[in-house]
Amino acid sequence: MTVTEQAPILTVENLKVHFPVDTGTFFTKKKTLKAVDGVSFQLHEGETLSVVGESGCGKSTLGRAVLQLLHNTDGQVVWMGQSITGHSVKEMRPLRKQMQIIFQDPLASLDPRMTIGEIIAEPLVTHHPELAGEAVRDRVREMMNIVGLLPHMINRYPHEFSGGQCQRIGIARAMILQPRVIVCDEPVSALDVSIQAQIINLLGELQQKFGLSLLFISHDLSIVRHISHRVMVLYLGNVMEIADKDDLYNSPKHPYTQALISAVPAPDPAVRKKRVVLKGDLPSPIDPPSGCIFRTRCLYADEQCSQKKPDLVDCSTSGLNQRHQVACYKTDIIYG
Amino acid sequence: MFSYILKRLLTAIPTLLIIITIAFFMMRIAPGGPFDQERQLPPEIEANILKAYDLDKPVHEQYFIYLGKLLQFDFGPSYKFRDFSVTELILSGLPASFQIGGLAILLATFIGIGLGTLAALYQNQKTDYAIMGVAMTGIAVPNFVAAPILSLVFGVYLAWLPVAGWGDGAARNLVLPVISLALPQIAYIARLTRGSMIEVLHSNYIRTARAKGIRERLVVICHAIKGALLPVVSYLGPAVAAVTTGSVVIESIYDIPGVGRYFVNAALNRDYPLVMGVVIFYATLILLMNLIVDVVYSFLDPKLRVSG
Repeated sequence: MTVTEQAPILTVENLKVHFPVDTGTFFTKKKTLKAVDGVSFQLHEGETLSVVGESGCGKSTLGRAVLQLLHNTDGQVVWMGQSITGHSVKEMRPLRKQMQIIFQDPLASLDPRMTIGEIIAEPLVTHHPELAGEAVRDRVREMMNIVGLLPHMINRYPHEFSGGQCQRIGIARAMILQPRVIVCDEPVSALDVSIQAQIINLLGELQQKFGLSLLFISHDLSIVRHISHRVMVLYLGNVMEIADKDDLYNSPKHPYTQALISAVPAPDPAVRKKRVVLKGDLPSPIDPPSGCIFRTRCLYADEQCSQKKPDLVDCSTSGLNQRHQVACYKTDIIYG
Repeated sequence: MFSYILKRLLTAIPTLLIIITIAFFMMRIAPGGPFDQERQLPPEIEANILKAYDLDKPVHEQYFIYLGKLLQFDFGPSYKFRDFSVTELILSGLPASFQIGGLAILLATFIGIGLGTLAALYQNQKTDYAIMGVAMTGIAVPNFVAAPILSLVFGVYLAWLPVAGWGDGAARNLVLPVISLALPQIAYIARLTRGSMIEVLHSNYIRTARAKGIRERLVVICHAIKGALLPVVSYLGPAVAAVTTGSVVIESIYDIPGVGRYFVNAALNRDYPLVMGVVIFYATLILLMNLIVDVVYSFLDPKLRVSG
C-alpha cells in the first residue's frame, strides 16, 4: 500500500464531542456525556481507515463531527491543511463537494417524497447550478450505472427499492460530486450478508477508480479486515489502538483489541480459537472510570491503570514510525 | 385516480343513508314534537296539522316517505319558518357562512403553518415559547370571549371597524368575524405543524439533505414541509367542513345571516325537516372533505398513491 509518506488529506487532532445531559426530574444536575473524548488520526489520499468499537462507543459521533454535521467541543479537524473546526453551515457548504457521508439506514436516509433521480441529482444541482437539466440527467444516469442501478429506475421512489439498492442510491448520491473523502457510517450493517459483500466490493471498486479516501465506521471486524488499510479501535470515545490492518489483526497489542479479535467467528468450524471474554458491561460515558477507561473490564488492570489515562504510544515493530500506536501501560507485561 | 374517486363517491351513498337513518329515528325518539305548545291546540286542528305533514302515519312509513322525497332532492318544508322550504333556508344562509368560514380557514392555514414551522425551527428557544404560548391562549380562550373582546377593542374603543352587522358582506364587516373564527384554528394548526415538523426535522433524510450541503431554507421547503403537512391536511378536512358551515356563536355575536344558527334552533324547535336537511348537508360536506384530504395525501406521500 503506497498510502504513507504524503501529506494527509484529513487530520483530526484531539477531537472531543461532549453532550450536556440533564439528570434527575426536578433538581437537574448538568452533566456531560463524553461521546468522543480526545481522538486523533490522519487520513491519507486513497486510504481506508476503519473505526471499530462496540455500540455507543462514539463511532458515529466521530464520523459526524469530522464532517462538522455535529460541532466538536474541543480539538481540531484539519482539511487539506486548513482548519474547519467550528465552521458554520454556510462555510461548510463548498466543502461538502469534497467530503460526503453514507448513512447506516439506507431507506430512512432517502427523502420518501422524491424520486431517486431527484435524490441523486440534488447535490449536483445544489453545488453546480450552472449545469443544464440534460447534463444533470446524463450525469445521474452515469452514476446509477456505476453503482449498478438500471437507468429505467430513475423515476421510482425509495420505498420501491430493496435495502441494498437503497444503499446503492445513497452511494450514487454521495459520489456524484466526486468527493475526495467519504465517511461510511456503518453502511452495510442494515443489509443481508450477501448484499453486504456487494456493497463493500462496490466501495472498494469506487475507491480504486476515483482514488477515494474512506473513513469506514463499522462493528463488523471481518468486513473491516477486508476493506481497510488501517484500523482504529475506539472504546468509550477513546482510541485504544491504531495500526495497519495486518499488524492489528495478527498482533493486537491492546487487551481490548485482543478481546474483539478473539470474538470474530472463524469461517472454519473445525478451528477452535482461544476466546478472551470481557467481564462486565460498558461503563456509562457520563461517569467514565478514572485513569484508563478500559480498566474496569481489563484482565491486566492494576493500581497504575486507575491513576492516569495512558497516552497513545508508538509500539511499531516494523521500520515505519508511528504506524502502530496503543494506549496501554501493560503491553510489556502482556508480552513478557 | 379517477376511478378511485368514483369508487369513493359511490361508497359515500350507503354512509349517507346510515347517517340519515340514525338522525331520523333519533329525532323521533326525542320527547316533544314540532307543534307542542304551552297552550293546547284544539284536537281537531292538531290532527289536521299532523295530517298535513304526514306525522299521523307510523314512524317507519314517515321514514320511507321522507327517503322518497329525498331522492327527488326535496328536503321538505320547514315546520317553524312556514313560508320557506328547507332548501331555501340553507341556501339563503350559505353564502355568508361560506364567505366567512372560507376566509377564516385560509387565514388559519397560512398563518398556522407559518407559525408552526417557525416554532419548530427554533425549538425550545424564545421564538418557540412565544408562539406556543400564544397558541395555547388561542385554544384556551373560547370564541364567545374572544369575539366580544375584539368587538370592544376594534369596534368601540378604536372605532376602526364595525362592532357587528353584515353590511351585505362588505370587507370591513368581515374582518372581525373572520379573525375570531380563525384564532383557535391558527392555534391548532400551529401546534400540529410544530409537532410534526420537529419529528421530520429529526429524521434521517433531513440529515442526508444537510450532508449534501443544501441551504437550510431549501432543506425546510423542499424536504421537510411536505412530510410535516400530512397531519395538518388530515385535520384540515373536517375543520373546513366545521368552519365553513358557520358557527352559532360567531353568527349570533356579529349578527351574521349564516347557516350556523339553524343547527341549534332547528333541534330546539323539533323542526324535523330542517334538522335532517342540516345533518345531510353537513355530512355530505364532511365526506367530500375527507375525500379531498385523501387525494391530497397521495400527492404529498408517494407511498399512498393508489394505482388505477
